This record gives sequence, structure tokens and C-alpha cells, in this order.
Amino acid sequence: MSAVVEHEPASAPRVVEDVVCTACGCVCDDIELQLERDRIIGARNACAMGTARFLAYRPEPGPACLVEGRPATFADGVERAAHILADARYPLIFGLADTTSEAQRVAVSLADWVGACVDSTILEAHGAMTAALQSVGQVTSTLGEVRNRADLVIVWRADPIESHPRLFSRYALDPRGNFLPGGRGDRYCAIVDVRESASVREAADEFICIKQDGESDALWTLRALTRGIELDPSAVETATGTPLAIWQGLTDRMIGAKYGVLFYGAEPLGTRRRLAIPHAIHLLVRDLNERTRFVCMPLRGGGNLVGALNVMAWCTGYPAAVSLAGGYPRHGPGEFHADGLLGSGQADAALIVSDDPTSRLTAEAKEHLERIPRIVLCSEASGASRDATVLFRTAVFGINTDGTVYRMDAVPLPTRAVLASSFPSEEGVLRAIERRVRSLGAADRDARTEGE
Amino acid sequence: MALSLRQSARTSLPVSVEGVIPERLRDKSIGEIERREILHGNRRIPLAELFRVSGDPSDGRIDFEGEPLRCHHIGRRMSGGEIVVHGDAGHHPGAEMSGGKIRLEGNAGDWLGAEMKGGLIEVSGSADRRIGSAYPGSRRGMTDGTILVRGDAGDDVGTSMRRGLVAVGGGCGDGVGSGMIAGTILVLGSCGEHIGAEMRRGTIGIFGADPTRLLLTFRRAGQFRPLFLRLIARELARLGFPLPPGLCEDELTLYHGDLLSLGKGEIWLRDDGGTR
Repeated sequence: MSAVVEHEPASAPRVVEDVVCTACGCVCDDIELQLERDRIIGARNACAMGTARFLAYRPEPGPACLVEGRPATFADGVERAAHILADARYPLIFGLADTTSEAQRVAVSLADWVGACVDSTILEAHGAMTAALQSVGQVTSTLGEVRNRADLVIVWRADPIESHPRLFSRYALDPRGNFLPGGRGDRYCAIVDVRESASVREAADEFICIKQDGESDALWTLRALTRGIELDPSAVETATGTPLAIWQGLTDRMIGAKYGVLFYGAEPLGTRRRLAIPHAIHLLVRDLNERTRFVCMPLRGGGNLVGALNVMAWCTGYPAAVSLAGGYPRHGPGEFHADGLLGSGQADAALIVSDDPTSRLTAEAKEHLERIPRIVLCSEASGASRDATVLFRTAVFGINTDGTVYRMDAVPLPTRAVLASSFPSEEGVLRAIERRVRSLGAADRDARTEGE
Repeated sequence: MALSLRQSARTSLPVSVEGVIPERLRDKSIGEIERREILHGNRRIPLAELFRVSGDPSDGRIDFEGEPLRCHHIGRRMSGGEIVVHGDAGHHPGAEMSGGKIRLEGNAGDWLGAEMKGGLIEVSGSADRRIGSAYPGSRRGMTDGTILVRGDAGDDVGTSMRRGLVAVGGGCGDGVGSGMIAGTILVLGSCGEHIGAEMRRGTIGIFGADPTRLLLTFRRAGQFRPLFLRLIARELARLGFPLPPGLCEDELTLYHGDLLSLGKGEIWLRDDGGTR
């Protein structure tokens, strides 16, 4: 459970190669960390985001477990947590985006034992991608395939230079691929966005500016042009903010590409419902595959959100918003999403796995969360989780723990513990709670059998 | 005399009354009905813990009474008889029903009549998202039957519907009739965006005064007075859902689409101000 502390000579900095970075969806696996005692002092190959994440690592001392704000033993914490979950009539397990897939798997199993709802994501945009996947599917590939084959790179309303700093240099634009010996010179990059972003300035061969509310009309225009449907030029320009000729040019380029890839942004634009956008993108790419080879990929953020979606899908059949309250998995987009369950006041206990998934909750959901017993697994000593009913300090994901993390193209990569921690991993805590919940359930059953 | 289920306890947890439908209770005694299990949070409890059961189930009518519990799955998969809800309903009322009638004297949550196959649902208040729609991963939404909502409706009304009629007295959110295969949706108020996106066949009538933005892949076909609307109006009047006076005499503007799909769908607009 708690990791073994290695004893190194005091002054010998050591280097660990091929470390996996979880700062963004690229999940780069070529980082070289320089370590001195229990600190990280350098991160070669890492981008600014990755470096910041590694250098910010400070092992903070403190109790491993707090029950109602007071230090407690690990066993007491597990006992209390197990009772909260077993006694709850509609518990919710959520977060899961910043932990290993091994821990996510135990969390889903625990949800099954206690009849909980389990949800990884509380972002509407991710719900929209999931819905698109369920209704129209997705033509996609790995980043390796993009690196070796993609001669046309389209970025749809995203700014990878800021959000995924090594996407272009490591996979999508700069590298020489098997079929692209010229590297950057063999590729064409078009960016469609509502503003001129850093990516546009630094990487784009072509920038197409669209109106704030013209996104779906732009996608519909491209779909129509791909299918050879005539459109009214003035209507297109009014709706998208860009002349039809520009869209025709982009369509010709897409159809003419040997292998195209479309990366799209995962963050919602404005407050308006964006369900239709991922749907339209997936349909466009499906249409394009009648003319050439084309794939698409959402630019997912850091942590292991893709892992959470995958683990939940192979454990329950659904990628998010699953209720196991009836004893079998039931999927309810909108119905079983964490913010909905909390906002409507239905959940009566919560287990929050990973650092701070609460920041995106609605105000009502946060308010309700404060009223119900909650168990928080968190690697930081500070923050909103301090007043949790039971708080477990855990080892830092990606630095202190072994496990699996999914890259944004759903390729699983192993993470290794580069530094030891005195705190247990999330997987360890969840396993202990699961074991106790199961023995409570068995005791319950025995009592009932005796009663009969 | 109908079977009355009067709420006798308050709860903040979700209650699912799946299986509490006329055909399953018709030949049961009050005692048997009281012992029937429903899902309360994550526990199965006897119906009598939350409801006072009285009356007679043999005539095939069930009345939900008392404080609105917002029960989920009311009338799910029912094939006959009648359910009356004196208050609000939760999610999935009348989902997958194949016959009979549900009358909601209040509001409904999401998935009202989702994938229904027949029968009639009347809602006196408003309904939330995905009325008569297809569940995630399904190819078809409602395949027959009638849904009448007097108030407003949320997003995605009639997604991938295959047959049947949905009429909304107020306005609708985005995505009305998206992916529609056939059937009819009439909206007396105004609508959001993405109307009929990917629709193959079927009719969406939007009779609100607000100008509506259509997708670029719809084509204006002209103006007409559809005879078909008179037949629907007569049927709706019989069901107690009269269309506004003069609507059947008005010239409607017809649009065809979605050209990205089959393109045989129709959108009718009454007020064509500002629409392309």
C-alpha cells in the first residue's frame, strides 16, 4: 500500500528516462526527469505545461487521513467511508479524471457494490462527444498514424500551441513520417477558429475566421460541399462570416488530401448548447471517407479523462453518467451526470476521486455537496476538500504511482512511480474501501439469513 | 373506479415506478399491489412504503395523487389502460409504451414518450428534453402514437422519430426533429436552432411568430395551404388540442431538406419574416 521510501545518497541527482507526462492529452512519454532527493529539479523534453507540473511537485507532510477535520488512522478512515457509502441510499462516485485506470476500475466496481451512480465528466462538451460517438460513431486513428501519414491537418476551434504544446512538434506537423519524408514541408495546416490564436500565428498555412455562432453552419457548409450540394453563396457568408469560395477551397483541399486529420476543441464555446458540433464533425469526417482517407480526434485535456471514459465503457457498457442503483448499469445523459444529481438534491453521499473536480459544478450542485457526507481522495493538503467528512491524502498520480493512463487517441501508456510517497495510491484507498464495503454487505446478508 | 396511488411520504431520492402499469396490476389484489417492489434510491421497497393504495385496478386506470413525487418511468412499456398523474412526472414517462393513454396534469422531465410505439400522451404543463426521441445508440425514436404537450418543450424533440405525431403548444429548444426518419412535429411557438438537421422525411410545422433560422441545406419550395394540416387539425381538436384559428387557411412557406440526407423532409413556416 504505502510505497517504500528509497534511500539515496544525499547529494546524488539522478535521471529517470522515458517518464510519462499527464499535463495534457498528448501524454508525452519521452520526458527525462532530474531528481534530487524527493524533489524534481528538471524535466527535459517537457513543454512549459509539463515542466510546470513536474517542478510544482512538493511532497507536503501531513496526516494521511482526516475524519471530520481531525487526523485519524487509515483504518478508521476506511471504516467511516465504507459505512457512509453502504448506508447511503443514492451515493454518487465522481471525478476519476486525474487518476490511473486501475483506480478508475476499482471505483466503478465499488459503485457496483454500493449501488451508486458513477460519472467521470461534468463537462457538457464531453457529453456531446460521447453522444456523437454513440449516434454516428467516429472515424479515428492513433497519433502515430497522424505522424506518419497525415498530409492535411485541420484544427477546428482549438489552440493546440497553448493547450497541447507538443502536438504539432511531436505528432501532427513537424515530424518526418514514413510517408512524409519532407516533414513540415509535406503537410498543410488549416485552422478554423473565431479568433486569431497563437496556433494560427505560429503554425497555420491558412486561417479561416468564423462567426461566433457560425460554427455549425460552417460544418454544414463543408458537408454540403463534400457531397456536391449547391449552396446559396450569400446565405453561406451571412451564416458563417466567410465567403463560399474559401469553404470551397478548403473542401477541395480536404478531398485532395491523401490522409487528413481534423483535431477539434473540447471546451464549449459560450453558453449555448454545443451538442450538434461534435455530431456534425463526426458526420463530416464520415462523409469525407467516401472521397479520401480522413480521421478526427477531439483534443482532450490532461489527466486521464479518456481512461475514465474507456474504463467505464468496458466495465458498464457506457462511457459516463451511469447509475448502478438498480443493480445493473443504466445510462442517463443529463439524468445521471454528477452536476444534475447534486443540483437536484438527489445524491445523499459522494465519493470524489482526484484533485478538484468540483470547480466545474453548478452553484446548486456545490451547495448540495456541502450538505451531504462526502469522502474525498486528494493529493494536495489544501483546497476545497479540507472540510470533507473523510479525506484521504493520496500519492500524486503520474509521479508517485504506477499505473495506466490513456492518451487522447485512446492509446494506454504505463506510468511509473519516479518518486516514493508516504501516502497510499488512490487505487489502494479505493481497494481498502471496497474490501470493507463487501464485508459489510456479507455481514448484512448473514444477519438476514439468520433472521429467516 | 380507478386504482389510486396517493403519495404518503416525502423523499428527496429518485423513485422509479417502472412496472406499475395497468396491465400488470389489473388482476391483483390491493395487498399484492402494496407489496409490489419499486426502486427508491438504490433500494427496492414495497409500493406501500411511499403510496397509500386504494380503489380498484380492474378497470385499467391508475391515478397517481398527492404531492408531486416526480416519479421516473411512469407508464413505461404500458400497452393499454390509462394512467393519470395529478402533478409532475420525472424522466421517461411513457417511454416505449405501445398503447393506452397517459395524462400528466403537470410537467414532465426528459425522455417523454421516448421510443414509444403507440398510444397517447397528454401533458398539461411543459416537458423537458428529448420528447419522443431515440435513446443513445438507438436508430429510431418513436415509431407511432401521439404526444401532446400544452406548454413548452426542451431540446431535441422527436430525434430520429420514425412515425407518429408530436404537438407542442409553446416553444421548443434546439434540434427539433433532427435525424427524423418520418412522422409529424407541430410547434405552435418558436424554435431554437438546428431544426430538422439530418432529417430524411417527415414534416415539422413551426407556427410561432418568431423568425426561425434554418440550416443551409434546406431549400425554399414555395407557399401552400396543406390539406393534410386540416386532417391533423380535426384529429387534434377531437383530442382537445385545438390549433390556432385561421392556421389552416393561412399560406405556409414550405422548405425541403435536409439535402445532406434524403432531402424529402418538409419544414412549414407560418411567419416567414427574415428566414432565408
